Amino acid sequence: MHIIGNLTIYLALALAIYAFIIFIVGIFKQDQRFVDSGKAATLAVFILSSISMLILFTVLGTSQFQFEYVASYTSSDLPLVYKLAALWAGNAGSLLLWAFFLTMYTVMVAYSRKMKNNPMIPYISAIMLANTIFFYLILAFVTKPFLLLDRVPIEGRGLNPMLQDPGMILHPVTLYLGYVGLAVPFAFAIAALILKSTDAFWLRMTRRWTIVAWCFLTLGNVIGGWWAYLELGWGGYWAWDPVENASFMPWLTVTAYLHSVMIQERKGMLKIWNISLIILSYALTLFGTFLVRSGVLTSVHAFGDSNLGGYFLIFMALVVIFSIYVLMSRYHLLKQDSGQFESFLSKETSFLVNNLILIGATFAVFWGTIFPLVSEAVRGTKVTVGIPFFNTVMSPILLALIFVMAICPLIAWQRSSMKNIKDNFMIPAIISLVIVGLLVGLGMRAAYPIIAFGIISFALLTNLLEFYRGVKARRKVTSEAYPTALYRLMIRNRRRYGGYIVHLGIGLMAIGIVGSAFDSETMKTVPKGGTIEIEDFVLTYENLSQQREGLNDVIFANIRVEKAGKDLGYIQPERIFYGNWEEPSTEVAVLSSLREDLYVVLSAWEEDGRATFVVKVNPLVQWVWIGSFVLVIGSIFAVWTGKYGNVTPRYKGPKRLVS
Amino acid sequence: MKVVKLLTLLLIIFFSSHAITSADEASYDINSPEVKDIASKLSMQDHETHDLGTCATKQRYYGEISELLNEGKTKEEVLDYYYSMYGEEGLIAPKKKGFSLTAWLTPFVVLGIAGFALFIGLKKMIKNQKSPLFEETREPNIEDEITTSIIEEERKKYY
Repeated sequence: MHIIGNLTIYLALALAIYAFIIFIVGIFKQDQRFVDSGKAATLAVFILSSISMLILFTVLGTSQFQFEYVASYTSSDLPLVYKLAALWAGNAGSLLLWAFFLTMYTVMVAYSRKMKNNPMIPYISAIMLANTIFFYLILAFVTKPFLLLDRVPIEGRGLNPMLQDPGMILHPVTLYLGYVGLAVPFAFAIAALILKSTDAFWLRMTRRWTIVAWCFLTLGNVIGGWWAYLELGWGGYWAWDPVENASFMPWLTVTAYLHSVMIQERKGMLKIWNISLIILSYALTLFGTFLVRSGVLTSVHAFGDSNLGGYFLIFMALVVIFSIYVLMSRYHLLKQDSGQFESFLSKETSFLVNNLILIGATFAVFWGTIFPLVSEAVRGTKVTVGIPFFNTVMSPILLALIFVMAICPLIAWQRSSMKNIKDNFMIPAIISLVIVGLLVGLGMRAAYPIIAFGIISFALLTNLLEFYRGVKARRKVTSEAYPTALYRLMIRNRRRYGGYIVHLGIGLMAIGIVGSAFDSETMKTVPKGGTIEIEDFVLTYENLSQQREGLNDVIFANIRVEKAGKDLGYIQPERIFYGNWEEPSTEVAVLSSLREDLYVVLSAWEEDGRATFVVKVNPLVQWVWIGSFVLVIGSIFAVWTGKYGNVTPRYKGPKRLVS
Repeated sequence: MKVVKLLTLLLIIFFSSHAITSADEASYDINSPEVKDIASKLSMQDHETHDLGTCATKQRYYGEISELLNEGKTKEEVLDYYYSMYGEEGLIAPKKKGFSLTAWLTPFVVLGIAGFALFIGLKKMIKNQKSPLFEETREPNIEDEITTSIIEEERKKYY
């Protein structure tokens, strides 16, 4: 296993280098045989990376502790699913997963039927292979997944209990699919520049790739948030941790890109801007990886024993320098924009404002993340930039973004009018004001949340209005029933209505985010039969019990919950003492509803039966998860294939000798 | 004499009631809003995002803050106490003065400059076309777009 494993890594590296060189030779010689050889080698790299993955899964699943990686992250008693998920628990395994996804995407692009006769193939493949080579160099010489130990331990160190969660199975995989997925539009953009194809064809080719990558990035972040919410010590669903920020920044820039490409597709404008955005997005994914692996900033996500940051920093610098060089060399072609802006009141302008805010938000997050380093470098004083900073700075920016999200769908292309504004926004504005009035009437006094809820409801209403108006317009022509009209309208305009569904998802998430700011918390020690009161809840602590689960001892409290006199049943917060892990873990008990989450933590207990609990009431948190679900549905809807699907165009340009 | 006695009695009542009120006010504990407010401004040696129920460091901080408040210190004095011990790193966000102010202002300054540049750029572009900024004119709005696309689709079906 060890020999085959290592062989797959070294062979994959050699073949990746070969494929990279042979693609370039094929391009220079304009000889299809070289390109075909490169494609075959790329496929071989993918097969080898799959074999590497399978071998690592096998040795992890069968607890072969002679492998350092297996001994470091698993133990015999670990459930099989977590033994396998340990593949991405450490540096070597997670980078192998990254390389696997990268080669998978490269093969998907190179062998795609849509790419037939497309001269971009050797360029795209070479660019993606350059990334693959970097990852394989690391895997072959710096952090080796198949390294053997001198002495075989009887038992492994086990997986950190915090990582033994369904989130561990999903969060890294989805996030990596998003991160690595951004390599595809990046490679397309650079290939288009090299080929001097400055029209919007490459954008249309990469539309689906970009949305899929964005969707995975969203899922990765949301699943991470959900995991952190249930895992104590990780600061709730979003703590503005440097590594969380690192995955949020490319999400923001890709969101900007997905909006601004519409202007290029429609009017042939913003070519430089769009390419810059995709370069920035890809560079930010590398920056995120650098942050996780370097340990320059304190983060709960960082890989403890990592010295890889330097390599990623160098690679990121090379990528950025090369990209800027290619961009500048084609600047004269890109600046020949064909379209024009006609009015301040137009969809184009609202997209620009949207881009301004999104990039401003990215900068604010970046600035907050690196400010501790800036402060130390400038005046030698360390500072902490935590949640209050990001909440204060980001709240107005993100609220402005939601406001633009409300305006953008209803404003006309080219030039809008005051009448248009009045017709489109009057009703949503009035209803939003009524909602604001109701909130004030219900006793809400804090200005910021009132403004926030007003803007969110305005955004939700304007986006819903788009569905209503579309159905109305369709019925006028076809006289269909409302559900039929809605269904046909949506499947015939997948991209547009997928986008509106995404907007609705963002709005629902925003409700949850604003609502969860009104949390309340109490910590109390109570005897058996004692009660804890918080908001409308009364919790009665009945007893403490113990049970054995495999090697682990589980201590749990039985708590009866009542709300406003109504019995809601029992919850059981628990502490788990592991047979092979020093620190016990605390599992929270959560009672969820659309209105609020009751969140109970068993903190400590005494010999006389008294126990200490932390009880929180977190309003509207469920809306964060519901909103993200809607958002993912929207993005899948937007890229779904089929008769009216968002079809990726085939290459119909001039035939070149190699493709 | 009667007046003096009465005044003395009033003074005793005043001070004793004041003392009772002060004692009431002084009983801060881990759940007091004041304690939570101060704690929310401290980085607690990177334990600020940890959970109060399970993090010993965070619990120690809450206990200390309660004690300091019970000793009669004000919120500002408690924060200064931690600042004097750990410097700015002891706080969860940079101070809003001196160099640290740049942390707060830079994002908005950059956004403002970029917004202004965008406005000027757009104005120039629109001006070059010699058309008014907010003209009452054609509106290819959603109804028109959808109707057009439906008609186009039907046309393709039959012709």
